[in-house]
Amino acid sequence: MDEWLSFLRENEETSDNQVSSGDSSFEWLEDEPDDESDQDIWLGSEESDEDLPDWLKEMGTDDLPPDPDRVLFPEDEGDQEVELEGGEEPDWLQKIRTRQMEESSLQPKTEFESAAEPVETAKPELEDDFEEELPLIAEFEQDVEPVDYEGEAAPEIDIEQESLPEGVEEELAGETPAPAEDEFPTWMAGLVAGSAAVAASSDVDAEAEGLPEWLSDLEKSSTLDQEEIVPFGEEGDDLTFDWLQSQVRADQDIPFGDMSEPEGELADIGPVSPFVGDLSDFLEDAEFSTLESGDVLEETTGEDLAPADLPHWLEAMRPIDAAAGMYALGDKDAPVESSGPLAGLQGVLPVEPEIAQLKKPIAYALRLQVSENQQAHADLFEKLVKSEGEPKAIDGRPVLSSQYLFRLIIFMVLLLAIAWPIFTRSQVVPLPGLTPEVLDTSKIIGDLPDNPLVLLAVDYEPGLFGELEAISSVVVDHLMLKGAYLTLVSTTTNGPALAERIIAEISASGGHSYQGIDRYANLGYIPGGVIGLQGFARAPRHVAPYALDPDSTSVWTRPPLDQAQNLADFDLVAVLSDDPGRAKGWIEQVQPVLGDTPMVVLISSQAEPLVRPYYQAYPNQVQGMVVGLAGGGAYENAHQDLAARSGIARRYWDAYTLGMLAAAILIGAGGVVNVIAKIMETQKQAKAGGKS
Amino acid sequence: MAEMSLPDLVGSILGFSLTLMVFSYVFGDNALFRATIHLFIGAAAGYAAVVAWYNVTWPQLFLPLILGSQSERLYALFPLVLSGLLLFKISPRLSRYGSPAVAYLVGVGAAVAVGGAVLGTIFPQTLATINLLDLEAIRQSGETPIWLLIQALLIILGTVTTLAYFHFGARQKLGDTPKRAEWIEILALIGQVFIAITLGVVLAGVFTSALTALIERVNSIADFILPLINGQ
Repeated sequence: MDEWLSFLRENEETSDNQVSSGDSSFEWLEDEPDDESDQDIWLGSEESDEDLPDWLKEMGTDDLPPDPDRVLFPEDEGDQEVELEGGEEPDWLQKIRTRQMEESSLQPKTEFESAAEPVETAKPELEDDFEEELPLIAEFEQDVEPVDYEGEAAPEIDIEQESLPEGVEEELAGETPAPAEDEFPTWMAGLVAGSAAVAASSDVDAEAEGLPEWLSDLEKSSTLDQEEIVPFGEEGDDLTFDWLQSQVRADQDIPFGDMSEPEGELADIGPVSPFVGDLSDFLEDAEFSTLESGDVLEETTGEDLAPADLPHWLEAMRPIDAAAGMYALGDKDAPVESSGPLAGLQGVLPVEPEIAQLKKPIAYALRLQVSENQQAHADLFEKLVKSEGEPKAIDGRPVLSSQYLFRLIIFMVLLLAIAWPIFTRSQVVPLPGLTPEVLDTSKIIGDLPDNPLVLLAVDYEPGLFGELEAISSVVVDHLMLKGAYLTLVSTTTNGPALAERIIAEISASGGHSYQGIDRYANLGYIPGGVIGLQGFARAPRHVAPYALDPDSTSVWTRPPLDQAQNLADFDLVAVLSDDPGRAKGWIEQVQPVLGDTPMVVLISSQAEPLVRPYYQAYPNQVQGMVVGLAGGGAYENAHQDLAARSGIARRYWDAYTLGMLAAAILIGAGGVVNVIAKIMETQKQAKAGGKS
Repeated sequence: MAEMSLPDLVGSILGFSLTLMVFSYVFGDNALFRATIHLFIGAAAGYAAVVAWYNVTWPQLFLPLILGSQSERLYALFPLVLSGLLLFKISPRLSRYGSPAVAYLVGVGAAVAVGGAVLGTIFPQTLATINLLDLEAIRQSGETPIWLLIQALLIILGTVTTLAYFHFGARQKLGDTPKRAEWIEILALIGQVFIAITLGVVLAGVFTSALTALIERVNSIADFILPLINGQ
């Protein structure tokens, strides 16, 4: 052993003695070199340099210890974290890192390694450009996953090394073949070093067992990193520039002290070759069935090899050959990968067995496990769904069905009953007598002052114009005789037109001159239904400010409406409606604001049942009511002079009477026919039942 | 006929023709009837649009915005915004923007309707029903008190029994179906009679209205044909 190695060992023993008071083998990590002399020893002081050989001195000056805080790869976030945490990491870790780097710089490299690194002497020059090449280096080293000696993994390697017993180190030194360093390629250097490490793996494992778990994990990780960066094969060949190769190798070179560290892991996983570094993780778990560790040692230690024979054929030999013979995963007949990153490996991708030897899939029954009841329901549902999509033949409708005949008969009977009085202008049937509601209405109108203000709501649809015309003609004629100023309004869109027609026809038939804004004002349509009615009841001038005439006259500023500020100022409110809902809306929304102003409703017969309670209530909300053609006839009957002027109810009354009679007969006859038919059917069934 | 103006003549012919086309429905659904219905719906919709613009939108919305005072413009701005929001209802994608206007209409409409029903129908009608047995009022009416009293009792009976018919509260005994109380069942049965009478009255009213409408149409046909026949 050289003197420099003895010196280093003495230093290690010294440091071990300093922490030997504790039981743990790594408690020495807690101590720091507390004097400068120790630092000098670690850093390689001048005294120690004196004991070094000259070539090592030169290397020592060339290989300056790297700055522990130096960030090689500033673009790498992981490394940045290392740098940032470096300032906060424990002193012992910094010490370890410094010591490791010093050792890496002080380790005397063999001639073998020196030969493997031909550009080593040019390194100082390259370092000047190192900062510029950092991104490229970083990118490259990310690809090759180098060991970061400045990282956290490196110190653990040293720890392991320092924990090794002296005998192990001696064995390592002794078993390391004395190669013909000048003839070995770079990747072979790693091979040789790995072989030596395997020999010492058993002792290293024994030492590693004494380590805590976390340290063992770190050790394993560092070991894997070292395995990955062993320069050989295609990765080493990928280095394009010599200076870059040297730089990478300088970073990847494992010092002698470290070379013993991965052997522990290699021994654990069995036979290892330098190509392990390229294997994937899953291969580490694979079964190496064909080779024993001893075989590997025999092949890899290379003691029997003549070093002089290696360079030529070894240079030409590809790792494929070695790997193909060494790795046999599972089946021996498995194919050997001939290309790609797995070239030379056997049975790595067992594609063929996965595909060709597929087992027959288990056949699962597609039939649902359902009960009979569920199946019956499902069948029924299926039939229903299916029947929906099937076209059905429509039964041919008979030209003359019973319903069709009945409809024709009813229509013809009613038409004859109506048409005969109409076409004969018959007026033989007396008009109905005066009813209380009609009497009240007539009395209210009769009591109105001259030229009263009357609000007439025309809220019905054109379909029932005939009935409402018969009701309203006599009442409106009565109002016109009183000289009332009619203010027309409607909550239906058709109402304004119907109101205009009423005024025009009654004015013409009664001989009145209700034309123009001076005699009546059609305020038009009030939108919003009951909301509009509520607004109109509260503020009629705002809701309906203009008349429905070509000039959109503002009627509320003209006499006589300028006297009316609200609806209570009107003398009468009359509502013409065919719909009980609309009539109810007027009663509910407008009547409460009328005060003493009476409200009369002129409504269709179909609205009477729902409106009459408002009239018959006590106190009543509707003071007068004229209902249907009968009400109009009663009003005409009460005012014969009015009947002579308009007489619409009179003209309709005979037809109405006969039509009602015919309808009553039809309904009665239809009922009797139904009863007879039912009795006959029952008798037939009884006879049929008796016979059977 | 000679005195009838051309527009009146055209109107009479058109009315006569359309009436016959509607009557053709008695022979079943046909093209003449459908054409008449479409014509009526179109005319009614067009007229409604004209009235809405001429009677509401222009004079009450745009006219104040254009020619109105500052206060009138501000007053018209509110319905303008709500109307604009309602236009979003045309597009299904943007219809949600019209929801505030609809919500305003529904809210105000419901409030007005409920308020009117409570103050204009429920309270007055309840009070009127109670007052039916006001003997002082009966005496002041001048009619026969007994007849008025009987009439009042019938009205009260009909009201109470009809309300009882719409009472659906029931008790369920163990192992039996839910049933109303016996006395409610009796009242409900009486109420059914009143309801049947009411429905009969409503049906008679509807039939009467329809018959009157038919009479008016036949009368219009007669007014068109008779002068032609008589040469008047």
